[in-house]
Amino acid sequence: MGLKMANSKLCLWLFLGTEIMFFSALIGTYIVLRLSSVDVDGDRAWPSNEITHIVTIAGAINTFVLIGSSWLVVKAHEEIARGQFKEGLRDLLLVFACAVLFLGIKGYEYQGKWTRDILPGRISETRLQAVEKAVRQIGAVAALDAEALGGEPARKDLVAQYTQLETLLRQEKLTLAATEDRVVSLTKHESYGPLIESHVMMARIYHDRTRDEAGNLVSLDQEHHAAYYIPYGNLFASCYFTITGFHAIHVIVGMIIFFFPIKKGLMGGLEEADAQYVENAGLYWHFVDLVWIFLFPLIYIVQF
Amino acid sequence: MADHESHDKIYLRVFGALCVFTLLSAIADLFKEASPGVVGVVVLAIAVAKAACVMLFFMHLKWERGWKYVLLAPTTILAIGLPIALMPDIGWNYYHKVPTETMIEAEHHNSSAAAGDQDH
Repeated sequence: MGLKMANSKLCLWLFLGTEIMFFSALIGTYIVLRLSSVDVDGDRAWPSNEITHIVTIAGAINTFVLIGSSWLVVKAHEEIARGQFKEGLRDLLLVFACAVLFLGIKGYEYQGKWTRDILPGRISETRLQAVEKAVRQIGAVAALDAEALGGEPARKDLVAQYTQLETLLRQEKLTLAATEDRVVSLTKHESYGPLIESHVMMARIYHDRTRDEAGNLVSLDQEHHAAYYIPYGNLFASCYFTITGFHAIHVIVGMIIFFFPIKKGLMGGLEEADAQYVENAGLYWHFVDLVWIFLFPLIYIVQF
Repeated sequence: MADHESHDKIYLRVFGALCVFTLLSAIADLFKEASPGVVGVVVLAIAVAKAACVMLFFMHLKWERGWKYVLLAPTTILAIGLPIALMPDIGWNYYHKVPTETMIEAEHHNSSAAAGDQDH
């Protein structure tokens, strides 16, 4: 009676059943929210890859890394099962290295979003929010001490400019274009200019997107304007970080799972009985790969 | 031994196929501006093919017995059912265009004008 398979493998498959439902809830919700993100005309308004700093090539490289690691796991399982422990250990170490590489590339992508403030709850979604945020960030720089701002005269000048901007904002006389002009002029100040460049998001996006190869400001078109306020930007950021974050946690858990046979192998203790553990670990790892196989097109490529 | 070697060859072929599929997805990405709908369908179809390869060969489902259907069928149904269940509430209504005051006023104005025409 019973299934002709190891109990541990059956348990692992039952666990994977719950994992399938967990990730399909995340991915399904993402698809529905994305499909329902429309503008006033009913057209799709989900932010584009360029605006949200989605790097397709990074996602593609990570896909290669994960499928490569999946192949290495099945190889390691076969090798350990037939007593080729040295080769099995080598492949497990390579799987671990692939996981580290995957997280490194993901970290690079997260860093790109962090520096551009593409984070949940921090993105301006309207022109007014973009103006308010820029003024608020200029205020934060103006609140620094005189030493940081390059002397008392420079601090007084920046405080005066900030006060003027805040007054205009309160009087509802400050447009996005006027704010952009003011931010550009502030970045040119010899003492506190670099601080404005690094602290005020609008200045940073200027630096990223609105300069030619010689570093001169180029004319702003609609796309560049759209970079300062991103409709549905917070929804995007929430979905992106939740889904890819949970996936990254699964990668880290996979690394912990692989750590034990690697440690055993390095101490020369691997045996054929360990093939079952490696098979179960491999099943988990393939599932992590499987999730990424769907995340790559859905997050990086598809524009629906 | 021969069985092991044949498995190794299968795994290598599957790995090669997965690489080719990924490359095709990356190439399809270059055309997404021109025809986003077609590219979307193509890359999702490629993802399904890749997932099938991983599940059948790397996860050994091709060689497993009937329990795989008992275990995977309910989860698959729930996975597909969830977005379908959410769609009417969120996808079709929540963010879609709703009549604004201006639209209602315009409609009222139009209907008043039509009634005026009928009076004359």
